[in-house]
Amino acid sequence: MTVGTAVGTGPGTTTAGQEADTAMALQLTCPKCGAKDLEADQASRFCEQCGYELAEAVTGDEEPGTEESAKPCVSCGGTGIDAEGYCTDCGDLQPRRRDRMEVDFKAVAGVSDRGLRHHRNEDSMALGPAFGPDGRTLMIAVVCDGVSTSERPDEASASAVKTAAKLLLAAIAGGAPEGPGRQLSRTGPVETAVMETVPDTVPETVVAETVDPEAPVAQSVPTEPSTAEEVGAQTPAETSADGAAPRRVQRADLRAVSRQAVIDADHAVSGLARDADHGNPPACTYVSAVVDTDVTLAWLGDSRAYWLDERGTSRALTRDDAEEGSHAIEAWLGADSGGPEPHLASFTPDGPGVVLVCSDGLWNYVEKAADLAAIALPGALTDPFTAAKALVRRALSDGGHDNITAVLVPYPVQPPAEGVSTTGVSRQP
Amino acid sequence: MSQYPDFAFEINQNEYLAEGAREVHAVVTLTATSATGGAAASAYGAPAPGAGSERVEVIIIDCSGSMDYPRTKMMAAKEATKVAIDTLSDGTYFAVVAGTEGARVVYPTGGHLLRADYQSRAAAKDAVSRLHANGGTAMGRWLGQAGRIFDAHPNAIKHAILLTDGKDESETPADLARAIQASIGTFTADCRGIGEDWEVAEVRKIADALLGTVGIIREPERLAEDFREMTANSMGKEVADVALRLWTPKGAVVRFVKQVNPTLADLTGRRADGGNPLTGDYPTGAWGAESREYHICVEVEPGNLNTEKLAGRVTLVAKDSSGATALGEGKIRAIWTNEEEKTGRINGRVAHYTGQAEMASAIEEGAAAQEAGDLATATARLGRAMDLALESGREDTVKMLRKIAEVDPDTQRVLRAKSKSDVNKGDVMEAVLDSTKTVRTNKRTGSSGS
Repeated sequence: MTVGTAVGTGPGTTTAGQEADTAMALQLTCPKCGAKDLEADQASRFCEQCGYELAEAVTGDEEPGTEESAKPCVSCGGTGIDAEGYCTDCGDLQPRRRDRMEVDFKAVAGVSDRGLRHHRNEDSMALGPAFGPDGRTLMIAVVCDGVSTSERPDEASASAVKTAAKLLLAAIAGGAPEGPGRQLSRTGPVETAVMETVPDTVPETVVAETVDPEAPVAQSVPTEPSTAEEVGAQTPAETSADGAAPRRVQRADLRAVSRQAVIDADHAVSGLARDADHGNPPACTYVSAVVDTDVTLAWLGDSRAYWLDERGTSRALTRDDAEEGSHAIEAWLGADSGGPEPHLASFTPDGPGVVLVCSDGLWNYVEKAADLAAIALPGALTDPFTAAKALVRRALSDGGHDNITAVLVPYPVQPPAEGVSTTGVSRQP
Repeated sequence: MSQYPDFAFEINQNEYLAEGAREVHAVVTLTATSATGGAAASAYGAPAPGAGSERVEVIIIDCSGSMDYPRTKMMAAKEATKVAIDTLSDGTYFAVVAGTEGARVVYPTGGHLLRADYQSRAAAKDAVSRLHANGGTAMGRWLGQAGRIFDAHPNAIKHAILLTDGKDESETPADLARAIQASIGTFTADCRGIGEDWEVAEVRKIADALLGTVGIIREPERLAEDFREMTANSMGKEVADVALRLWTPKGAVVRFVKQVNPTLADLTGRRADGGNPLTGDYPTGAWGAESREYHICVEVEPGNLNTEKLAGRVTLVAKDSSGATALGEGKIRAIWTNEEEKTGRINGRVAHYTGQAEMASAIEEGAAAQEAGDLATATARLGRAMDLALESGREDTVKMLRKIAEVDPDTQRVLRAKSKSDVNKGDVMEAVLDSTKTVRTNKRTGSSGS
């Protein structure tokens, strides 16, 4: 397995991530009360200390609202549809929510489609805005593609995206825990101190951004080789005694957070294994993008992320865990994954563009970043939903042999529109 | 504690069908585990159905004159009946019927059934000792007499053992058919033929209708052990009347519903109304802690590519005084696809039991052709049966086929069927009866489900 591969060259810089200590689980901080023992696994819903409700990302697979009335059978018009979606007259399985999932947050959007040749959609996505402790908005996008030779691959991918997104949202909101070892000794990059305006409730925070557009990867850094690492708040307010007042916050280490999301997702998918799986427990690929001022990527398998822009510097941001031209992936999530170490990379765009996170059902038909950019841009910058639909439509019209999922995150990150940010829009076909 | 055994439900099938394909096959494996854990329910108070319910066992012994030729048959029958009486669980109601051209209840003589205990067993065995062979054979009347005995205990688990040594000569075939029809659904029966002068087809009609087994006893000294086993098996039943309820979509045709393990039994024609026009009930009789498999084939209207249809929903239901209680459920699915890698997979269990059923009919047809003197057909059918027996590793069947056909010593393949005069009739009967016992397979390739 290749690890920490640096991918792509160009005006922005992508850097290889050095793998963190596998034994060290990320410590999560509750965004509300600051408790250091926050759990964000599949089963957790609240902070044990203060009852803070953990946020869930939108997947497009949510139960429809109650106002939606039962539809008649698409084949025979019969009105009896059983709990599993079969017509009680002709037996035909009704189209499922997962056959076509659409989520539109305006500032991030995704479409996942069953395609034309598979009888179900084994891809899943989770996306939405994430809010940092300093009030700034990030975007997260996770795509997983169930391994079709495993049992219940659709459950694997659904579980993986939900688990990973929950961790990402909680960790970003809670900020990085304080403690030793998290500090940023770096050589090379120039640090530029920037004063940021932050909401009233949060004290002013000095954020140091590092910008190092020119440094080649090899010359950047041995221990913490991220060129786009956020340096956390170095001069935070005092923690007050009653705990309700502002407390020390430090923005999360997105690389560590992304890695932990993969590990949690791997545990969740592994937990789906049953004795009756005949040696093929549920399994899926993984790719996530956390888009801030920089873009942090984590992946396993052959689902991909791309950077698309109109300046001719579109490119793939990930490298598949598979022999070239082969669909036999070499790393995945699941009980038989062997606890894989995810690839991590981060990248600082040098201008506007869009991050595409997708399954192979898309890139099998349009693989070159420039070709993807030609379909998605310029529309994706302002209307990523329409652009995601266009990408999926292209894969369908070219054959739609596999499930297709495309999530687009415009850069720079736009704050989500009022009222949309919390729910997203999930539309049924 | 549940009054019924727990049923584990497993469905093996390849749900992927090529474009336009209509036939959907599935093997349903049902495994019941005891609800009582061996603890007998209290003998006091109203008996509940299922665990602790009443049992009635009726043992019918052929007392026609031929049972004394040789005398060992009658001696063995008496001995075996006594063994069966000793095997009854305490508290079981029981009766012994002497079958001739009539049917005489030799125990109990007082007109109503008694529970098995030290005294009643001793009295019954004494009555059995005094049985003697004299008279004809009218199995329809025997069944009728058993039915009248069972009538007094409609909610009990009711089972009969029937032993005969000859043809049903003292009544017409129509009489027998009517008696069988009247018995269906009221009790189950296992049948045994002793010697070689009885008709397999005739006795099988009774056993098939009453959801029981048929066996041949060629050595009288083995009868007692066989009776002990049948009785013990009957005592293990915990629920009297269980049916496979099959829902199929509108326009579908149920091609067949067969029990395929431990023995072959075609239930297709036994369909009864299952509560709505799309649902039918197929009887499976009484269940104890045991496992059985059923092969179901449904023909459906083909769906569009990459669509899925529910081709069948199988529910196991216990019929009782309060109606029907669902004990488990499984789905038979159909998904049409052009992916040959998926449609081409053959489900191991479906293939296995398709082979076992084909082998059984090949032996039966081969034996019939041999009897009729059509040696070409007999050779072809027995040859096919031998191939399938070798394929599924049925060494006993291979041995039996070698007795009724000439076999190439190197390849084991059938060269030609022996002529009727060159075979022992008992060998043929044994081969035919044995063929309906099936072996299990662990193959499950190309499947999913449960």
